[in-house]
Amino acid sequence: MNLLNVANVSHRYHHHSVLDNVSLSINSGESLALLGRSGCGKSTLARLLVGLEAPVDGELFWQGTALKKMPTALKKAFRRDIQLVFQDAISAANPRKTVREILAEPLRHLLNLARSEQQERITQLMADVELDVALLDHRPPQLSGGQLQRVCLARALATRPTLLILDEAVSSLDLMLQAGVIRLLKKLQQQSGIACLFITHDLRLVERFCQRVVVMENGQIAEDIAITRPLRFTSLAGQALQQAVLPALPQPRHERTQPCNV
Amino acid sequence: MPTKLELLNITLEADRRLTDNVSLILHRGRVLALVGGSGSGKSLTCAAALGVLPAGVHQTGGTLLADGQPITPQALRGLKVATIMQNPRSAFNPLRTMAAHARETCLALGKPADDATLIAALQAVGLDFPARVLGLYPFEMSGGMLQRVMIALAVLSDAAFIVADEPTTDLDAVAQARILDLLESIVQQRAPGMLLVTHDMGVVARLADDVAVMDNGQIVEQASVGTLFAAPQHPVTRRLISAHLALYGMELSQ
Repeated sequence: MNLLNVANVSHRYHHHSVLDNVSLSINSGESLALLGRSGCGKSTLARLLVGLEAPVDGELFWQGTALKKMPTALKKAFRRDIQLVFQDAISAANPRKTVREILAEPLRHLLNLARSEQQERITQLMADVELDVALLDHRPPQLSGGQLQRVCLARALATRPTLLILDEAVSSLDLMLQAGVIRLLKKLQQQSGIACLFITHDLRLVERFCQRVVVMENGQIAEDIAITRPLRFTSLAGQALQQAVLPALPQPRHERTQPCNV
Repeated sequence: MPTKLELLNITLEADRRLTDNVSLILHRGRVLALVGGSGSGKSLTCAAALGVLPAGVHQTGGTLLADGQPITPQALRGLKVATIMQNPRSAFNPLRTMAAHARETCLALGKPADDATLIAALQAVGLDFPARVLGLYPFEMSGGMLQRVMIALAVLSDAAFIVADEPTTDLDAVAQARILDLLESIVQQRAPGMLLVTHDMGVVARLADDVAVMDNGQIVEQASVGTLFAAPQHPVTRRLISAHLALYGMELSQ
């Protein structure tokens, strides 16, 4: 089923074009990667997808309803349904609130739960992201970067969304934590069929986790292909990112001296 | 200039012990990677070597040796050891141009700071239109460009050793690959000894000659890069290598 549809969307900041005629559809239950270099417009597209900004041109549709014309009652369901985890966890969490308050916020605003149900849900969320419940009374500055990013992930999962957008949300985590988050997302996909949009520049994660990859360059979609092994990109932007993938194993020095990319 | 720099039994404490008898040896022309999870003590070990420990952290043991002779971190920092930091955007002064940053480095080291020297340094790290770049402020540049300038400043200082703390973590994959190419060519041409701090085993595979694995403030394993990837011994190393290989759909044998 089609979850979210982007139709000929363009966006500008101060006359500077950021997105140029982008069309994209996201289906329920799929894992889709949005791949591109810094500044290609990935994060702007994410902001449009969750309705934080409205595009200058073009339209977005959530299950067939245009975001622009959405009635207020439906907006609440839309916000419950689509959740975004930001790249920078520190600026995405209020430093004055406890972890418990941070996780309770979406539950209070977007769901109708009794207080005891809220607390149950919060405990469950902490278990889902493998955090100790003792951290619930801590505040963000008392947590490590990896712990705080998992709090942000738990907050996004709180409303049981059908689409989770991760904007470089795992690239700053260390390798063991990255693996843990990927495991969790795979488990959630099997249990609840949540769709994931993975915004990243790291192809290694894309190949492990996604079924489809959309490559962006200069505010445009350069290509949209299914993940195959090995991946075969036709766009130059996709090929450049593929060539930039770090080696799995060390190579002898004499091989390493060859220029390995553009 | 020394050819060997030793960190010997560095022990750091705050309200608890943060690193415990950490010893590392840097040789000119070789890249030693220091790897480990968040909070394992990698960056603190570098800070101790440079004498820039954060407030509240005290060094309770250990010495630095340059070619076997004791040396203070103050005598190393900037002169014999240059630093490349993780986040180029916060490492530069937003109110000063690249030329002002480069001149400050040269003046502090008593080196010539004429435009020709600066332009040559920027050219050496692969920046196009170096004369124009000298006039730019940090906010006018991409993360990759800023990181190149930071490397140019390290090259200008002509230090025998370079500490690179997560030098490519904040860059996109293409910019990262280019910066790693640049660091490799600097190691080959100028042969500094490099301490490369990273959490990405792909960066280690790309650039390192030797690897030290840190966990909970201790060095748990140290080996050449080939040995470490082929036959990791310590459980922490094995977990790290398997998580890394899993990213490529590979498995650790044995």
